[in-house]
Amino acid sequence: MAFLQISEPGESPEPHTRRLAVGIDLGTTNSIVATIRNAVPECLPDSQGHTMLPSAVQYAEGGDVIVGEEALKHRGDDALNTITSVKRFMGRSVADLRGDTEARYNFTTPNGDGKGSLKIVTRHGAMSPIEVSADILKTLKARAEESLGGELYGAVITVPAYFDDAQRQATKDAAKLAGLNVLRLLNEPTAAAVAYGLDQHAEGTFLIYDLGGGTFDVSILRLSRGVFEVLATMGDTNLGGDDFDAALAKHAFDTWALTRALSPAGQANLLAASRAAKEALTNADVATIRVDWGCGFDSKVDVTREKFVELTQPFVDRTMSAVKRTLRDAKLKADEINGVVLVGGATRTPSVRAALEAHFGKPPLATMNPDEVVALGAAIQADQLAGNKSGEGESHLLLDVIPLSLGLETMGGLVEKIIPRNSTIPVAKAQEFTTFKDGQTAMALHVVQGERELVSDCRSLARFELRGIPPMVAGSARIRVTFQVDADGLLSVSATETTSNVRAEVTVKPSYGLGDGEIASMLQSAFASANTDMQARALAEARVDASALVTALSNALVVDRALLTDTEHAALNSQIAHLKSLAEGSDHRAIVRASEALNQASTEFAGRRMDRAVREALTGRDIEKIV
Amino acid sequence: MNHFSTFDLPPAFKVDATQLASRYRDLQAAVHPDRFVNATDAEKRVAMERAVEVNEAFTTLKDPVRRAMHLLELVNIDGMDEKNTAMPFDFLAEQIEWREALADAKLKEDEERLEEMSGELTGMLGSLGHTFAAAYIGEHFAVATTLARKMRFVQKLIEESESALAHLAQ
Repeated sequence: MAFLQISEPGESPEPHTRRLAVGIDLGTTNSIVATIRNAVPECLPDSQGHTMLPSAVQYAEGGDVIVGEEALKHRGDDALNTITSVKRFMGRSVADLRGDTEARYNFTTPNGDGKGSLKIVTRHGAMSPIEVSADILKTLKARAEESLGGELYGAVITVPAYFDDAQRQATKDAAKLAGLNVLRLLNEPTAAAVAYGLDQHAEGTFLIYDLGGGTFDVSILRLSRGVFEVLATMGDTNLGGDDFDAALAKHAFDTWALTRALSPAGQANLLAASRAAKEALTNADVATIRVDWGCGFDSKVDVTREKFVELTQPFVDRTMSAVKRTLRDAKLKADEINGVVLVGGATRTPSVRAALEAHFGKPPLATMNPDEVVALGAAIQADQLAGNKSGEGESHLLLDVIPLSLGLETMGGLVEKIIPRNSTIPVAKAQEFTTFKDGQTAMALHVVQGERELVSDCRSLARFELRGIPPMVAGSARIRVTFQVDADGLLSVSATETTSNVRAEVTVKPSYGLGDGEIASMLQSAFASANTDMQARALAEARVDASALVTALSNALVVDRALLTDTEHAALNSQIAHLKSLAEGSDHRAIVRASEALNQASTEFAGRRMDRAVREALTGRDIEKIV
Repeated sequence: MNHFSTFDLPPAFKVDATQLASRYRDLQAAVHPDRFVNATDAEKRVAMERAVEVNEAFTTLKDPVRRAMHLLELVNIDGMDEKNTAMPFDFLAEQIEWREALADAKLKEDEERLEEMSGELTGMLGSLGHTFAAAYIGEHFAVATTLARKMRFVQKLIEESESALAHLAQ
């Protein structure tokens, strides 16, 4: 197999080694894949020329998995096996569904005990939202590979800014399950800001108002010399255009004074008719919701624009109070915002635009297609992360934040916040705790996310235990808990008893996401491969990784030879030679071990390179000033 | 860890916010993990650590109270340690008055009054910072510590009035 070529970060690979990278907007209602072609971001259409793929999956009879428009057609006649708006279920448990009007499927849990991440019962078995999302992503991956004529190097997947850790982890797992190399999870409003900012050469402070099918985000960013800095973000992962449809549907249901609850098929038909009426009302003053119940029965009702505004006002008001809150968090007044950028199909609603115009004293910006702008921004970011320099212009930098505070449960069910919301990522914070009883040898840690003071009001992310603490008097042990959030916005937590060095570590995902083992087993069943194939795959992967490491490190050794003594240089070179010779063999474990050892050995060198980069960054600025 | 040296700045309370922000961006442009997606694992780890450090330094220096506390830390004083300094009685009495006024405005949902208080407190924080800067330069560290703690009290009141306002807005 051909080895991937790796160039220095910041340097572009040769034209023929340009890596195929895409941005994917995995939406509640529709999903889009985009890429950079001829230095321009564009959405990739299917064979019929449609760029938007309805986020609908039908688990059909005969074992077929149907995704998109075709699946949507069966929302009425095969409602239980046709999954729409699956994004609302990502990282969620059955308990989270209480009062959810969307709960129109049969749900179950992994062990049937109501605990853990939910699954949806279909004729193909119980499907997790991760698997359903992976089916949507696979369709987009296939579309991209066919259109670009090659295997994808990687993808940037967008998530609502207000997604919590469980929802982010679930999204990343879905992408892995679809066979995508996730270059980065990117917040949707940030992606939109990148597309808008680069397209319009915008500088200043912008508010991104993103009202999608099922989620709402608002982010305020400062755009300056290619740096996109998120100042504050806020949102609601259960508010979107779907709610407008539901409000219209309820209005129709009440008007018709129907006495019986609707069948799943009837509900789906009513929702589809309501959505059509909503879309018509963008331009018309009156629209009709008409549902054919079959057997010659139908119902209809006219809805005026005034009525629609009245029905949807509570949702618009909720978004506007989030807008005000975000301004406060960013310590800005409405007149300090240079522009409001509209993202998401639901921002076509005239009353949304009117509310924003009233608050900011100027009409919102709608120069870019609100359905496509997120995917386009993700494509730009994917191209840069893959190491392809996109045409003219310098590379840009995104500085994003975490949307919700992260903390630990303390005595009495209270939350001790460790990392406050709106902290720029990556971020790490440590906090010391102590024991409560004499001779206490274990400590249970409960990681939560949210703004409320009580644990019960926050989202539980993970529980883990630190064991083996030497018995001491209450209050004398020193348990240092470190929270680290990476550039994807994903959390990992570790705990150490500092007087004895007892260590416990957890990457926060088991509660809602999938363990790596589960993904591996799903991949295995997906490929239906025999053991030897898995071996071959492991060997191929180990070789690719080793080759990437050798190439990157060898390049670095040439560029920064001066940072090493002769002895250090020789030592690294001999380890590189060792790894190269192992990579020619077939022991994948030995290759992985040698790669790890080489990474370890080159850490000091990496540190010196970074120091040099930092010095250059600081002096570069002075030179700029003098000139 | 000296957060000022991260930005190649002298340790002083007066910081040029524009210069700080611009150096922050230059540094992140050099160390951010997005620049190392295709690099070795060792470089990815180092990039992550450095980016975390730079963020931590920026968060500390852009906030007046954290900046003051950090300056004290650099001369080995833990400004957050309650045992360190007893607060003057009249300052504490003043605090209680502020707290009562704040509680009253919250109860009455008096947005205008809350805005006023937030503004007044912000001004107070500014002048305390000014005095802190002078005390620190003069190496009157005991005075500086008391001032830093006063700043912290005032900042908490600002945060409370701001969160009350945010609550009213929703």
